[in-house]
Amino acid sequence: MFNYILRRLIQSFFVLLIVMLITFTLPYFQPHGILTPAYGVLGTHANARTIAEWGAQNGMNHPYVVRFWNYLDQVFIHFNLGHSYKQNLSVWNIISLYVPRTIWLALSSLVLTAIIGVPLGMFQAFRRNTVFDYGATGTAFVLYGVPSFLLCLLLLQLFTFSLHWLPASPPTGVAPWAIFTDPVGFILPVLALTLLSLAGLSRFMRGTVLDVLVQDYVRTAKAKGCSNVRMLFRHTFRNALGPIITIMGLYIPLLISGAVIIEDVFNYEGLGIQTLNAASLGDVPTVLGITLLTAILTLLGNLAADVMLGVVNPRIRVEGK
Amino acid sequence: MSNFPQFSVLEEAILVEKPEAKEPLGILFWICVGWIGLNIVGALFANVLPIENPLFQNYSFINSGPSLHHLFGTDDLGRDILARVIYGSRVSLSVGAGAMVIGFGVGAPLGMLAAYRRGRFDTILTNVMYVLLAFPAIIATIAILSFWTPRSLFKIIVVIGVASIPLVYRVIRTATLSVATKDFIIAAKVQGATDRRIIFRELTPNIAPIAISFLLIGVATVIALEGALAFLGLSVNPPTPSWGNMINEARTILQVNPWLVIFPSAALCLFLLCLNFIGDRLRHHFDVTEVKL
Repeated sequence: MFNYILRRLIQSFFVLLIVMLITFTLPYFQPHGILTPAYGVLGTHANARTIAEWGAQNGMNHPYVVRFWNYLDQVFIHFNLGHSYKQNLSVWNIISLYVPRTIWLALSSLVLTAIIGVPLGMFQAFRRNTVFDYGATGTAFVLYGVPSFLLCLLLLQLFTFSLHWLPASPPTGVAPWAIFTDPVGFILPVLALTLLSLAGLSRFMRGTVLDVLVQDYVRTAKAKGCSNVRMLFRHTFRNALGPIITIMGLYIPLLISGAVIIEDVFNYEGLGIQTLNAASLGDVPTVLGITLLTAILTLLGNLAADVMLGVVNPRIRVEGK
Repeated sequence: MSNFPQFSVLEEAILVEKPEAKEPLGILFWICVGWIGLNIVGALFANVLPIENPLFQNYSFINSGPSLHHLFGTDDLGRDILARVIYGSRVSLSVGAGAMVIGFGVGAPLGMLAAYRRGRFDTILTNVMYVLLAFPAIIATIAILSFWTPRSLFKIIVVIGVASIPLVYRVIRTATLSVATKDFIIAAKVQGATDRRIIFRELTPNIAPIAISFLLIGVATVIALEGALAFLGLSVNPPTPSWGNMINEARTILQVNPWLVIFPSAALCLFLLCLNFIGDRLRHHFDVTEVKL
């Protein structure tokens, strides 16, 4: 098991290096290459000499490989994601306050999705081709097809403007624990994100459980007089667990994508809104810093899912040895 | 190359073995196909259709509801919403078509080759694609579009198209893998068929059904992505109408003029649902099991 985790860690590290190579190289494609921020910083004083000077001061005159090495050093040793010349702050300063808030949003949705989606999909597969199954499958199909921003607008219109039940946005401010002290404002964003991922998960769950339900050992269990509950949880669920964990790991990028839209609609101060602000300001270092952070979060999610998979599925552990 | 008679018999036997009990596609399927067709015709002939100029601003009809003159009403600048919805479909349709041309143009040949050749080429390529796939598409597109300025429809199509390559690659690779190990491929190899013949004559026809049903779902996915970008104000610049940016512009005045959000939303939703439905039905029809991760 230890070897398996180690191998996955090394793999993730190389993936991270590739992502860093990309985020490092992208600024070279700006209109003036990596010296583009100099034009903003220097303003009217920009001429060939001052720009070259500025470049030298900021270590931009080094060759590509040396700069990449410095970038790695900066990220891994100093945990520095870069410097935003537009806002004259380090990127980490700009986004650090918002990271926990987005993680809370994504995590609570992930937990809710799992708690609702897994039993729902199992029940659908168990009672397949009944009115309940058709209703749930149809709803999931519509939810899956409707663009996320429309679903958010619909929820906002229904619960805030028509029924006046829930506030349109969570309390402003960046306290990461606000989700516990003042949960009412967080209901809509979390609900929206949960509904978005729920559609996919329950559909996937239904298919996976159906695959297991037709297996011979399930029939044998039933023939031996096994109760439905035992058949579902002891025989089916344990065998369907593997694909579910994998897909939950893959949900992390989905949740982060969803968070961008949801934060925008519900004015939820988080990484997504920061990405959008930076993108509309043309603040490239911040955008790339967030991109890198997202990559790290995504990799951690996949890693966690793989480790969990190793825990529940002995075959994978053995293969890793 | 020469075709051995016993081989074609073998091939036929395998083809006949397949159960042919296919259920009909159903009336809803054809309604969806009709709706997609109608949208395509509307987008192609928007210039010729008897609708107003989508950019014409009529200040004496601001935020009016649906009426005989303006079937879908007008927006806050007095522009005809019907005309804007029809012209707006052009953006979505070109993104859907263009991005999938790029995605399939690059992803499909790579996926087929990787699955057919296997070996180190496959290992490396698949790992790279899974890295790209693990990345949130919307963050990546925002990151790239944020400095590939000024934004234009062409750039958006290219970025979304490139973002869809790993998705196409994975589906086509998995599909090819399931076919490439079948007996008739081995038979063709034993018979001495060239790689080119195997890929074009044996593999391609067999993975085409999967490719087509996935193509439709892929189109829906990229259109939804473009819609999301437009909704965030990062797609084509106004005043060019697109479904996403119409919804974005109107969401602040949703309480004043709900029609302004309802019509483009309905157009977008119906279009996406129809595409997904057709893709889903085709997949069932061709008896393609869901691609397992």
